[in-house]
Amino acid sequence: MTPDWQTYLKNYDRIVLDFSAPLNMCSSERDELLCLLPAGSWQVAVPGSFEIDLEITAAADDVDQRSLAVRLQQLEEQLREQQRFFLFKGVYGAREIVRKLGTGSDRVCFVFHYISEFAEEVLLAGEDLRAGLLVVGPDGRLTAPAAGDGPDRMAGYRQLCALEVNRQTFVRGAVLADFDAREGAAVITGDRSRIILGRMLGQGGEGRVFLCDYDPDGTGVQYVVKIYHRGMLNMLRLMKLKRMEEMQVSYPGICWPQRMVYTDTPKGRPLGYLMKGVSGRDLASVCVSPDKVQRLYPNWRRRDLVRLCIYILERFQYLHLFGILIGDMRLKNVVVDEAGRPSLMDIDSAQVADIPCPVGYADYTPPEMQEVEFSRQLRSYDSESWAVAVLVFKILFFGLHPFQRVGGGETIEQDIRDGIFPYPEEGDQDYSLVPWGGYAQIWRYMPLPMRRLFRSIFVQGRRASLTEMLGMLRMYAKVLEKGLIPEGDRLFWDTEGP
Amino acid sequence: MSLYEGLNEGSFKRSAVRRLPICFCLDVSGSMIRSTANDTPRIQELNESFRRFLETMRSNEAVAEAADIAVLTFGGTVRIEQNMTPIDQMPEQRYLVRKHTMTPLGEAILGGIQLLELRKEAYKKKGIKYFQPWLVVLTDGEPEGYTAMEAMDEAVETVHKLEAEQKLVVFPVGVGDDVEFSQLGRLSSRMSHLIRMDADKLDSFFQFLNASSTQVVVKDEQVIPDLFGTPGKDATGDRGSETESTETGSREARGTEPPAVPEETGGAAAAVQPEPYVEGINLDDWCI
Repeated sequence: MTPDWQTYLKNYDRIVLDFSAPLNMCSSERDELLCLLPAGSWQVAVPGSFEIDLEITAAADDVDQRSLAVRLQQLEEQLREQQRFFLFKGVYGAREIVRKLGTGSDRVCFVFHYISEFAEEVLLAGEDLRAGLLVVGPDGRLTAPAAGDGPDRMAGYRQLCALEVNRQTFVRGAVLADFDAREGAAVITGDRSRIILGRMLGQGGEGRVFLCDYDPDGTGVQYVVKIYHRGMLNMLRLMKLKRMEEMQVSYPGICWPQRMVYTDTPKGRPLGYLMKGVSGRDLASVCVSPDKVQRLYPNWRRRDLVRLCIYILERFQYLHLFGILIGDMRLKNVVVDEAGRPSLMDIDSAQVADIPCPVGYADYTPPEMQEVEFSRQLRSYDSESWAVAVLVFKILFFGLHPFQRVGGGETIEQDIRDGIFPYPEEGDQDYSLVPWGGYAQIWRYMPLPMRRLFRSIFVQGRRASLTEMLGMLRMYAKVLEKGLIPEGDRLFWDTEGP
Repeated sequence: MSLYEGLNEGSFKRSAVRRLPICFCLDVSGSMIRSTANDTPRIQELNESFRRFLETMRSNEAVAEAADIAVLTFGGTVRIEQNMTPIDQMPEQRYLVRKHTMTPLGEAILGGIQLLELRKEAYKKKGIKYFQPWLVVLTDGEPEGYTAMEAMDEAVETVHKLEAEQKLVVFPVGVGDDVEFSQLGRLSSRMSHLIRMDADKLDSFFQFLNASSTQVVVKDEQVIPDLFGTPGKDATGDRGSETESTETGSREARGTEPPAVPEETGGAAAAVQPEPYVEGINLDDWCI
């Protein structure tokens, strides 16, 4: 019989609070927890990522989330006054905390969301774990799934957190609708509000995207409708869109499927969804060569590329906090407007809870996932971290893949399998494997910690957490803004060869 | 071939994009002075079609970023008109007929292959990725000259070997109705029919090349098609005309496959349509 969480917490002196917990809790329990913590005597520690997560949430569209950020800052102050607050400075991810604290002590309790980096690391730690676990479940309520001392105490935890692909997504079939997708056609949302399709903006293998007249708050924000091609709305997509509509994710720079749309008939059949529109160029057409970036954004310097990475990673982290993993990230799914502000596109394929992202791209697939069938296996924060590192590298190196090297294989998959990262450690000046065209200079002018981070990821196979990369990029941007690297802010250094 | 000693690898542009190297072998022998049905010399039709082709390729962002072009002409001898260069750096092209010359077809094909090999070596040395190279051979006659048949045999053998190793894509194009093209017809082991037309219809062939190169360069394959085998997100994005991607595609390395060459020019491969069906899904759960 699992105890209620208030009783459970009394067994522990210290609490490690992951941001994903308060963010995903239902408001009543969250308020209770935030009142209980300062009133009690626990020492409360937070991972290094806490501050970054606070900042990211403080910029959310949802007013409740913004107030939560403020509320948590207040909590921090309250606890600091009592000298009961600790920040694991420099320790961004969950791995170190879980492995060191979690296995060493049974007086500490981890509090986190059932889909989070923390949850993943606790699963990996397995039976060695002695710490208490208080998990926010899918219903937003706290539960203690690993209470007790029995040999199989982790079984309850695994049942909650070790997700497997939802088998319902394997159901064959697609919902068909007789609908002529064109300008002027009408669709309805779930509450039967009518929306008229405007001009078609584009067409892909999945469907068509149209402008529309949806403007619920009268703010004039442009929305677009994506209508799937006939036969595309299979069970996986339907389940996912429904979940996405329920989740109501809203953040500047994320084109989230907000509402499903249906045929304007007595029995409305699903057709697609509504999302915020965005105009600009996709990064795959920008990050092609230094010359192209220079031509498109003549005022850009290296710090602008770094800032681009920061903005994008902040949006990824926001989604990660809710247990949403992108899965099919790539340059093409990021659109940059004239001012250089990025938006995440094609989010409709992201992984939500146990509904997988069925697609992936070779450049962003880590070696251990190359043979995986994506529709049958869920992504992890681990694999996502590798993909993010590739994306950041590509943005900083104008589209070049980190494993692309002189004498490389026929395909990038081969290069990834070979695992040869051609950029040397400091001091070791062998640039012979770096592709021709001046890319070696970008590496040379990068701050040492940034270079070390890339090497730890691509050479040593360490999966750095997203917030760690964010922290590093912020440092890089600051260093450039302060002019601490002479010539370091150049977009590119014009030399042939290394 | 002493003609190619000292040949350099051409010029490069720094780019993360996977290159598509295309070598054109164009017949400028005496017979190309003859006119087509609308009274224009074949060479003129060729020049103008080719110019239009280059323009179209350059106006397609994705292809303009990726294509590297070389041009060889043959008539009497084989001459390198344009060594491998990125398409957006190519100067204006115009070729003149070499009057009273014969057609060293085999030598030209071998020259083109050598040029492409050199280019591939250079790509590898520089760490640049590339798609299977293309060789476009355009002639209005049969091979002529003292060593013509020997050279042609060697060319055919080499092409077949490279095709079998998936290292070359060849487009043999026969211009005009008056010749059998029995030799040109041997060139590719993959194509059952030759591409044939008169010079005034060259535009349709070049359009096909343009469409195919777009397909190859922009092919943006997902690693695994989704459960129902429906086609992946394709090249033309949901955002206006941006179609480019520098990102290589599927784990089956299908980016190195050549486009399907149709038996008649101008026929694009039909897109695979998903089989629509409602099988296991309870409609009432999903309708409103």
